[in-house]
Amino acid sequence: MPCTMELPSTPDELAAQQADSAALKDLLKDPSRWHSIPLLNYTPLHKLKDQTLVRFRGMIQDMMDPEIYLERYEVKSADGSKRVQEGKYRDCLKMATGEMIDYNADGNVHGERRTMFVVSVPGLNDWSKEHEKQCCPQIDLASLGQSPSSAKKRTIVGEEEAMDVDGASETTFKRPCLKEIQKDSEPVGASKSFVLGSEYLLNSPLPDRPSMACMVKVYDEFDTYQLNSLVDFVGFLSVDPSLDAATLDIDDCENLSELQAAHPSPFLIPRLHAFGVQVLPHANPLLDKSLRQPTEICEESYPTQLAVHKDLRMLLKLCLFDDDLAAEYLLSHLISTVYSRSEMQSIGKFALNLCNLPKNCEAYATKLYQILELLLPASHYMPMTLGTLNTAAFAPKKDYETNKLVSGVLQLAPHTHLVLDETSMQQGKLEANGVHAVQHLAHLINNQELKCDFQYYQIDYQANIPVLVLSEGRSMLPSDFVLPINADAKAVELVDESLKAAHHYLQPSRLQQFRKYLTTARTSGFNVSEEHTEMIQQDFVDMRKANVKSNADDLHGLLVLSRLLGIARGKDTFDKETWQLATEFEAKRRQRIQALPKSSAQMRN
Amino acid sequence: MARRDYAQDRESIKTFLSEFCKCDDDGKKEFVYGSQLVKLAHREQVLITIDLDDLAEFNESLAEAVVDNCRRYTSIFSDVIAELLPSYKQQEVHAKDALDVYIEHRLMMESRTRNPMEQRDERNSFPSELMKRFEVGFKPVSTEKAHSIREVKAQHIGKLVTVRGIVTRCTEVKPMMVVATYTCDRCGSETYQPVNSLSFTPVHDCPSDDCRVNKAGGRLYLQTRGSKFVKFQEVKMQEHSDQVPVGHIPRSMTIMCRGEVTRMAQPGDHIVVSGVFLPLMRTGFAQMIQGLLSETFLQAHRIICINKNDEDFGPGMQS
Repeated sequence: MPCTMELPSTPDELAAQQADSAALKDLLKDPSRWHSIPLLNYTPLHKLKDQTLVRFRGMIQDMMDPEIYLERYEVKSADGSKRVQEGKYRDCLKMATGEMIDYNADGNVHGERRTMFVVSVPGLNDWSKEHEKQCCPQIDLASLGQSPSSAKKRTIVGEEEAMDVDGASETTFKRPCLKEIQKDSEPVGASKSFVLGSEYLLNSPLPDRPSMACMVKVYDEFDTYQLNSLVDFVGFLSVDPSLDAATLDIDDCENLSELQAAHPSPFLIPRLHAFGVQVLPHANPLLDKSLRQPTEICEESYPTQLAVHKDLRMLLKLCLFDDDLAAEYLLSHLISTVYSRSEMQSIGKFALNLCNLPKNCEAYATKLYQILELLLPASHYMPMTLGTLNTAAFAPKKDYETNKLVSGVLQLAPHTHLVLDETSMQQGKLEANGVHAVQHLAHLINNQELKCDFQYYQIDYQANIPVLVLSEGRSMLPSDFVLPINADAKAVELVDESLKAAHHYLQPSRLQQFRKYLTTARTSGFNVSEEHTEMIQQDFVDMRKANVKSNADDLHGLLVLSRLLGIARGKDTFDKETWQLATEFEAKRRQRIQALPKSSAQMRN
Repeated sequence: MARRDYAQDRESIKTFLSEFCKCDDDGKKEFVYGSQLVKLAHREQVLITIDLDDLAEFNESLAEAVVDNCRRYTSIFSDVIAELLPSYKQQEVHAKDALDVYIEHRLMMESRTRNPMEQRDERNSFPSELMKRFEVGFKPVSTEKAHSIREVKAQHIGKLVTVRGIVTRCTEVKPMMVVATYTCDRCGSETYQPVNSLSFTPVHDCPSDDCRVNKAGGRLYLQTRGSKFVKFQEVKMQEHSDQVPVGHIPRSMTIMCRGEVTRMAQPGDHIVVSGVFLPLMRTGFAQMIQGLLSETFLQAHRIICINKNDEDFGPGMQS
């Protein structure tokens, strides 16, 4: 049934519409209705008025304690008449001049709402950003009528402009919390000292790729929100300057930093009162129906999964020194996801270590990553230098001074790929932070869980981050699959040319195909029917007879690999062919490991 | 919920406090609260804890009402105790601090100079808060389980709840003004201002009859020595890791401790707190937003520290 309702443009309209909640729900479920709403991620704040309808896509980074607000309150005017004002979806009290609120009125209703600190998807690659920007409706300043009144530039020391976050010049990993603490001895009139830096407030997980932040206030279904999940919110923007704690005359210095963290300037971190929520299964904007796709893309016909698979495999083989096996494994890695979780295990994870990389290839890892960056919607490349390990914040930690969960590199949305480059590791000593960093990484790889430090205890949060480690020898981190590369000598010489050729091969249309393929493969289902379990068991028994050392982990690895190989080829059920392919590949992989020169580290598999 | 007759409740509370007794092992009758009242009268004890188990034995509906509307009953109890105290005084009490001396002198002056027919301004007569030198706390029923912080919701506002958690931060103990005393520079009378919240606006003009009638316009000056202060500490508490559902952040709660409940917890302690869950209108933050948001806090009546080993004892039991 087509929905005849229009999206509300002010909170009062929404209040009226909520009387008919079923229709409103239908309206919000229809993804095409979301096309016309501007994306806060890509629209500069000075183009948006307070209380307009906007959207924000991002990852929930932190959750605050509940707020109790006046949902409905009575307003008395000078001549004695009263009216009832709805307070939902607003931060500030709404009164005309000469009106006063009656705090003690019987009709006042208090409601509860929660604030989520949402950052734009960390590690979102440039092509995704570009594409989302294209899909976002443009706002014409002229059509707004009046220019927004509130000052964009503040006179407060240390304040930065709202949207120019991408241009931030800070490349250090340290997160400066207290920029300057000047005690003002002058009387009223001088600007107050700004205690918390904007970088600290924005709290980007990846400091050298800063994210935009937004404080989203939700009004119902509080328990359904999970940390680190990708969500798209629709609601009313709230950018009143009075929301900024820094502008106020606060004598209570004790909670000052906490107040500032909880109420940053709305031009740095806007507020959004959400009434429509969509949990995103993936970050790929090409396959998101709620974004208005540019027409050129919709018209293209889409080739079969198998054809795309062949092309992609060929591309990867080209980039990996002509090693076919490596291409298969890398492809499986690119479509892997944790599809099931039991108490002890995360099933489906595929941490891959490509070792035995040729030593004389300059910056190969970065070049390989450049290709991967073009294919994946969100990823992050991290050189494992001593400096990085010793100084970067990896796991989130709660700062009790400001009551904020300070983010870390590993706080990433599901399916954000992490590429760790061990080839840039040098000799040196790992300090305490570095040791913890390695422990966190190992924990993430083994369990797909992120430990957050709450000072008195640590809490594990589920993660779904595929990790790719590139190393010359054996990696110091654990992996599910260690694959030494057998580099063809000729390919090593021609590696630069090969990579250039790969870039040429990646025409826009082909890129779109690959990008869609990877996300579709990742989110597709897969079945293993009963008849095959017999075969699997038998094969496993044979395997154990041949090699006593093989164990349940090996079987597990085989199952994961065969599932991914099947999905890659466009299949949705298990069959003998993929199983045999998987056993063949695994056997070859083990052979290669055996053939490696024995080094000091003992690795499993 | 039927409206309760507070006058009737006061009478039953009076009876409860003076007559409630427990049989000892030896068969001797022990007046639990009677003996505490004696101690209070002699200033040997400051905090009197009313065990709701005992109150439930005495009168069930009253105990339930206390839990439901705890704040009101706290003030009723303290009024009743203030009435009963003079009769429990068995010997002369020596003044313990400056405020005691003030109170003594005030009472003396009043008995000398006061004309019973004269109308006295509310604020010039002694507020009951000023004269009380004890505190009332409630011990919840032993069958009550400790909640986790996220279970305490808006429906619990005004009620006595028990919460379990771990202390993350505490402020230092500071004196909080409960009754502000002012002296007028013209007529010399004292004016009192009871303070119920965390901040207050000082009174400027003397409301006494002398100054009002003569329009002498005396200014008031705050006297810290004659004012009443209580110890005050704000403690922030966080949920235990096992109480946090999957994918959520631990919730925290603010606890306000007054008087004897201060200094009972250090950061890192596992505690069980029982107290009244109340809203707090924060003053001083932007006029526009202040009205829109309230914060909630727990006004502690009892804090028990539990170590990790003792957790299986269960909350609410005497440590």
